[in-house]
Amino acid sequence: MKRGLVEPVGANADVYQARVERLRERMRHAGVEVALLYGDVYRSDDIAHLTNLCIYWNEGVVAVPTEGSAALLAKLSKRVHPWMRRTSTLTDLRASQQLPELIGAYLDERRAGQVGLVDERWWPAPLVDGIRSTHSDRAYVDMPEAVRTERIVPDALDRADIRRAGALVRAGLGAAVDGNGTPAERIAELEFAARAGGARDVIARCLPTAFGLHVECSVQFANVWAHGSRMADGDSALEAAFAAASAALAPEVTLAALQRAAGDGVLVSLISHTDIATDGDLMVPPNSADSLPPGGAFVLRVGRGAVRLADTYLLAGSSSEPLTRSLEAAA
Amino acid sequence: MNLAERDWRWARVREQMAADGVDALLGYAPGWRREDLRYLADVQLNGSFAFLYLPAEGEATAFALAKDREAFAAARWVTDVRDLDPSGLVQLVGMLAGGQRPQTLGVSHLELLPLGFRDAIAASLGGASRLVSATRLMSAVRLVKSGQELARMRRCGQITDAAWDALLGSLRPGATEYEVVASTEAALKRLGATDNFMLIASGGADVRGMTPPSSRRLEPGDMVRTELTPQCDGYWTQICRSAVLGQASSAQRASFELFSEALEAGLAVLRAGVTAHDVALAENDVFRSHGLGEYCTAQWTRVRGHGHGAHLDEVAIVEGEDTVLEAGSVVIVHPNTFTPLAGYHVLGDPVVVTDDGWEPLLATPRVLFEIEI
Repeated sequence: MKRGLVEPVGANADVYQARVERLRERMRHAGVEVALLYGDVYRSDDIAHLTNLCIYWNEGVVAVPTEGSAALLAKLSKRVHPWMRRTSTLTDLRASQQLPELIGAYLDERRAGQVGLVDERWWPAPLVDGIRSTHSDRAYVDMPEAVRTERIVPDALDRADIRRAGALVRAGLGAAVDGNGTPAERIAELEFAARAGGARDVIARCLPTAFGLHVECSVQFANVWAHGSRMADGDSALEAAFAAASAALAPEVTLAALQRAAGDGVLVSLISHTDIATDGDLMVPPNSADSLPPGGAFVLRVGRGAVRLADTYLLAGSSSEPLTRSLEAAA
Repeated sequence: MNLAERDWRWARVREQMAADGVDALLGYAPGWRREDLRYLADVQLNGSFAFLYLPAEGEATAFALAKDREAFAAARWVTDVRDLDPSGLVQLVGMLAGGQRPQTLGVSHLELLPLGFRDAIAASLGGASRLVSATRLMSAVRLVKSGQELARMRRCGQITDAAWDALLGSLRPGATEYEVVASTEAALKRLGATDNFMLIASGGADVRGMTPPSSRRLEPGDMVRTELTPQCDGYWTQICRSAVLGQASSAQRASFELFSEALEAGLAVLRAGVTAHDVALAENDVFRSHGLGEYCTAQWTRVRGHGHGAHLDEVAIVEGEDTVLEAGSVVIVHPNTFTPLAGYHVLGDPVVVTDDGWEPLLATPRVLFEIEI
């Protein structure tokens, strides 16, 4: 549950508008009149990317028409609408416990045309059934990864915020790894370091393993995430493998190349920053021959069994910028 | 928790399944609603989804991401744990297609089941089976807690009390709301909490509700309101309190007296056999008697309390909700709402419902706290 800092859009309204326009380009290309995005407290980064709305509880749908302003259609009480208006770009906020009917009423106001369901596969089935049955005269089309794809290479605002998220991961892991406390005490230090630094959300675990204490931490700052994990007691072999893989990390490199660099006996994996919130559970595993896009931000993981080291990197120029460990440590 | 506890729970679930005409249960745990698998398997999950299949007779089968398989092994309630493949649910649909297909498969949180999962499950069952929601079935079963569940909730209550103390210790002019949350979070995690749900608001009579924290800095005279809900060993308890930086104004005191009267009225009627409606009615009647009844409506407030347990927001305490609160149920009674007296105000305590009343889960006094500055 999100319980960290939520700040208004401030001077960045144009950035959010530009993001909506990129989605609209895709909508026009697909012949879609209205795009619908579903989000809940666990997974709503696409919605936040377009609107800065923080769904801190329950679930909701954001409708983006080809013309006019986006709207929130949600079960959330109207009481929180003033806060949502203050902190997001949304001005059209609608609430009802009957979400299909609410969405249907919204569609009735729009001109005829196809409705795009962004990542339809992950929408709750009864909600999709309800929308389709109440408005069977409409045509519906899946828009898989229509927003996520645009987020993989972060824009200037997201780049700045990912660096902030990375710094908070660095501070949190440092506080947890440097201490001598119990796992609970280490997590407490980590949480304080990240949240007092302005994190919107923190997911942290500290687990005893056969190889020592394992600490991992994901931090959301504003609408983006960074992730890192460490072994509190060190693991020189794993660290050497990780160092070799991270040294090879650069734009256009492949997962297969990173695996070769790390060597046998360890498993290398990559997660786009867009999938940190769900720990990569929903993403299609990358093809080992696919090359990493320049400008993208990725978590590099090198693991052996339940133990793994991880850091988040921004791929820039011909190299990679470590975001969750100091440059000295990365070297 | 031991296997006797598991058997007690599964028997309760199966009894309700028989009553509802459900031949087999498929517990679904999306990332933000894991309570049914906590109940059925006593697991602390980390993955974005997991399933547990419980037939009318025989052993259960769990389907989990690799990261969660160790949790099932540690709990030892379910020994048949299979891989969960999000792209096609291969093992789950294989089991459903290959076994004796239930005529009626109840799915808890069917309302949240992704389209891709639902279609794969439905296809595996064929046209002779039907999927029905078992969300209310599981909510009804989970309403009454066992002795072992209550022991966990009492422990969580102790951490909740300590977290409130930590929050009080962090209140000072100049502190931001998010720094207060950070201090509170650190305190409850240090004591072993595994999660927390928390809303906060600070300021004067213009505050209309609570939200995630902002960078607003606290000022003398502010009333800080919070709903603080740690989770420990899979169980949640909540505290609702308000605190003033400095001496409370007469308006803030009057507001507190109103909310205290409403809370005590709700608690006064609470005992096994009453409905959630009865409790809400008692709270709201206090507001009505003061000419403030409009502030009990959905325009200003959501609920007048709610159930607690493996989920933090179980049965709603609202007028019209006819769920009977049985002995062993846990509810928080909180008449939280906005009034013009001093703005949004919160006050509430979770309690265990007993045959002749209730037992508290918290020790924090139900007062308006004043912070010396």
